[in-house]
Amino acid sequence: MDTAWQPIAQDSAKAAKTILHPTATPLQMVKETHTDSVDISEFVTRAEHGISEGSVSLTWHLELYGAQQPLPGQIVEFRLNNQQLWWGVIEALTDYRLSSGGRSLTLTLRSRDASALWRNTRRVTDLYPVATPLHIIAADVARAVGLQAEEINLGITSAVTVHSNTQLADLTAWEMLEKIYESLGMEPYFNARGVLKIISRDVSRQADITLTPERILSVSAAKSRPPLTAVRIKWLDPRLSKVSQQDQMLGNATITAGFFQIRQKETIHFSADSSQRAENTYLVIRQSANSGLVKVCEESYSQKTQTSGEILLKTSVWVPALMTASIGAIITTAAIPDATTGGPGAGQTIPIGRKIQAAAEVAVLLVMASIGTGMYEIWGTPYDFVHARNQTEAFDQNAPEWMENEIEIENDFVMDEPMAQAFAVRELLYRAMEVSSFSVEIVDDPRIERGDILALPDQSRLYVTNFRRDASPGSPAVLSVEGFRV
Amino acid sequence: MTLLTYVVQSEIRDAAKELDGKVLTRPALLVTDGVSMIYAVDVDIGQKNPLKNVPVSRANRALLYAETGAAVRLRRGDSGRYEVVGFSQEQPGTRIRIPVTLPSFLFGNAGIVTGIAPGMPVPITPIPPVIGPPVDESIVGRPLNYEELSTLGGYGLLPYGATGIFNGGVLQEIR
Repeated sequence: MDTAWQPIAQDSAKAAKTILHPTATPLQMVKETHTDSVDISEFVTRAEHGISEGSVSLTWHLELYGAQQPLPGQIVEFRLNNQQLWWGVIEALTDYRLSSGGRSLTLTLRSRDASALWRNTRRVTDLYPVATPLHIIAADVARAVGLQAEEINLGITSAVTVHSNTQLADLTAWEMLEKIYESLGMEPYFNARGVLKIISRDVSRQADITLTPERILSVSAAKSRPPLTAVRIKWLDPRLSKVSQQDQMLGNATITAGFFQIRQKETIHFSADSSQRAENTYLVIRQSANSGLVKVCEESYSQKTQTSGEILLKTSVWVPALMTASIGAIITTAAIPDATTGGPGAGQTIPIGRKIQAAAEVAVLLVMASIGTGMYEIWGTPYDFVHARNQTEAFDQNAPEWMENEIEIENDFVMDEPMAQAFAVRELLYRAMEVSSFSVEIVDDPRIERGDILALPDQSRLYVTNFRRDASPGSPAVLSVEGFRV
Repeated sequence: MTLLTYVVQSEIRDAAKELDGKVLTRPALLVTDGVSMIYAVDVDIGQKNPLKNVPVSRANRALLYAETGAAVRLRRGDSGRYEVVGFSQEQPGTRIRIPVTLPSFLFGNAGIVTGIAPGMPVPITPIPPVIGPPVDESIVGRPLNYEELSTLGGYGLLPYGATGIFNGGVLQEIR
């Protein structure tokens, strides 16, 4: 409801003016700082406007020739009682006719959101972190299209983003705003003065304006069976679900252990890209490094991170110690003189030093022969955290099966299940009710906007989807309102 | 049973080439010629009924472990049959349905003054919509616990590791 206006008195004529703005910008129209007003009211034969479009029929003799002629892209403003009523951008000049002594032309006007900038140009938003209020994103979209603070009146919402990375892409600015506010039961709307605001789609709220019997002139209605029987909302649950797979081998390694290294570590990742998480991991020894002559090491495993573990082969200290001591013995015993074990006259000579040296060499060979190669596998339970795409569906429980007709809405701005349920029910009510049209002609009331609920004298209510107003000078104060009963 | 019996009409209508699902059963041998084997699982795709006997893609070692509860990616071939081709980052979650009774309006006179002595408009009694309690119809497949093995199938009759498929917490079948 536009509180800048008061209802117009019954049986009064409108003091309406039609103003052409050849150079004004939308911002100047909103701030009313334009200085290029050209009053063309005297040439207007008929002017009317609705919520998003208008038309002006002009008839003149010479006045609107040449540079004075309205052009596409210029702005036409309707004023009522010298107050801005509605303005639109000239989209087309049609029906140009010449006759003796006169010319006529019809201008087709569109509200500012009808432009390709809003409806056709696809965009990408910034990346928003979790807990970003939705009105911040909406305001950013509006600013990206060139709106200034004076042109934005989106208010504040308590809803926030619930996912860590939120980015809207490949949507037009208008679709982005619709998507942002859809889950809240709102939709974007440019009011009559060109300010971006939001309106409610909640059909069960209190009425905005109450109409008294004398202000209602005529009624026309049509009723049809709701074509829609269910609205299904699909939304991404912000809570991640843990999904485990079956116990399986996650990785393997082949490691050689021996005197040459005390500790041998091998890091095992649970997937080639090191991204697979796993739990309850354990070591399976397919072939031990101790399968040589002597046990030389201890084999152990421990999980280090969610995505990797470490196999450790710890060689016993005596192995390198024995190797070192034996090599030392070989070197030192090389200096032993070749005293013989045989007595005088004996035929063979066995040097004492050679025996001692041989014992040291045997020790070295033993250690070397104990070098083993182990084959190891790491088993465990891989798991991951995945998003669940929940469904919340409101359905007409009295609709027969042969009439079933469902629509599906995907929206990741839904925060939780209660919000999804409210969203689904609200959309079902709105879309099921809007098929039955209900139009009234009433005494003009410039307060009425799209999305308002009018209370009628018989206690029924009307949700406004459109209206049409004759803005010709001196026209009767009548407003045709279209909508549906709620 | 042909391989086409499991195709859900609504999914065909949507012409979805790929969709995410949640495995409800252990892989079971679907068909074999004695050499090669095709395993199949039941998959919840967020519809009223799950897809039955969806073949697991062959020569994909990781998919042999597509256990109960795993989030999987299904791909539809030109013939309309789905196949599990990999793991997914998304899966169907809860499915909540809310019954609504929509109001039916009488035209009424809307308060308009008609005739010579119209009097005041006759008020109509607005019939508000009736919103019923939400019904949980989420499909869950999970191994039965000891108590359930005893109460649902008879202790000793059901093997350990038997999988139960529940709809809204109500047991539908044991696999």
